[in-house]
Amino acid sequence: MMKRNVALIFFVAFLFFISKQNIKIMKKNVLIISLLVVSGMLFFACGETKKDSAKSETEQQVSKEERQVGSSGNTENVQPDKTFLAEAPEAVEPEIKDYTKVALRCQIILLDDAAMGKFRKLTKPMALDLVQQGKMLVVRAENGAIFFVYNKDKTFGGDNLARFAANDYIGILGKTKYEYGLNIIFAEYIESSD
Amino acid sequence: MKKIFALLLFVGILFSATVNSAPSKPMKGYVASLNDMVTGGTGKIDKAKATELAEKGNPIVFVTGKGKSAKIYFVYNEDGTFAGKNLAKFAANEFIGIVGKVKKVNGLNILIAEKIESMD
Repeated sequence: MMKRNVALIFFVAFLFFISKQNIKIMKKNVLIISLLVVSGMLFFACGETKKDSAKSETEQQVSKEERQVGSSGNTENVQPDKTFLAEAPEAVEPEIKDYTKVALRCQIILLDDAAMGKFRKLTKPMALDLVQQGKMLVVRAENGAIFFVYNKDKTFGGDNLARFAANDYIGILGKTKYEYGLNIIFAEYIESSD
Repeated sequence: MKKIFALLLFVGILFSATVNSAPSKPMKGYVASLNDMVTGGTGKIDKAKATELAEKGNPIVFVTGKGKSAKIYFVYNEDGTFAGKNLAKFAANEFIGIVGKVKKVNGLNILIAEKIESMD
């Protein structure tokens, strides 16, 4: 706001400078300057209101927008970019299922891919290489939910997942929890589910 | 008359420039270890630990809010790479500010960081 005020002052000074060049129409210029300053202020006010309305429009659009992503052609809920001023809505809490007896059937994917809304099939060498590079592997359930896999000792399970990346699908037995909008599974057992 | 039009044009350019150059407000939060958060901790870690975890491919995240209302953001650099290692450098700070864009993909809060700075 301060910057805008400074710009405004400079602008008014500039206009006065111009008006000095033609002293005969000084009065007329003062009137024009006043009108321009007022219109500038109105412009600012309208700009702020426009921003607010654009924000609410974006929020509405966010809840509605869906687009096709990935090679499998699944419909993923991908929301468009927005500034911080428009906070991302809370994730809908999924139905918590017990995966201690029936395994969670899922695909191993790269977190970076999930974040970009793209999914590619990983091979075991590729997965091992990515993990070595410090990339994170997560799993994607059949319903599209992303799960962060942790080992029994509560360490991050990305390394462990890489060993199963040759499989199209894997099954994970373990306790799940939904916290901070994220699905977590503490894997007790991982097996191929092709 | 020409002078008035020139002035009006100048006003338009000047004001649109000032409106567009208005800086984005940084999002305030702190650097955390997801591993610690999912096991019941606050996620707060020191810089050395954060760097070590990031190097080993553990998720270092950006957290806003407190307690159960805390929100986790996975921060990415503008080139699309995960910014965990970059975030780890700020783990010693109580609060950091990130300027960038937020989007939600597959239930994950993604933050494309343009600028990360200390807010202590």
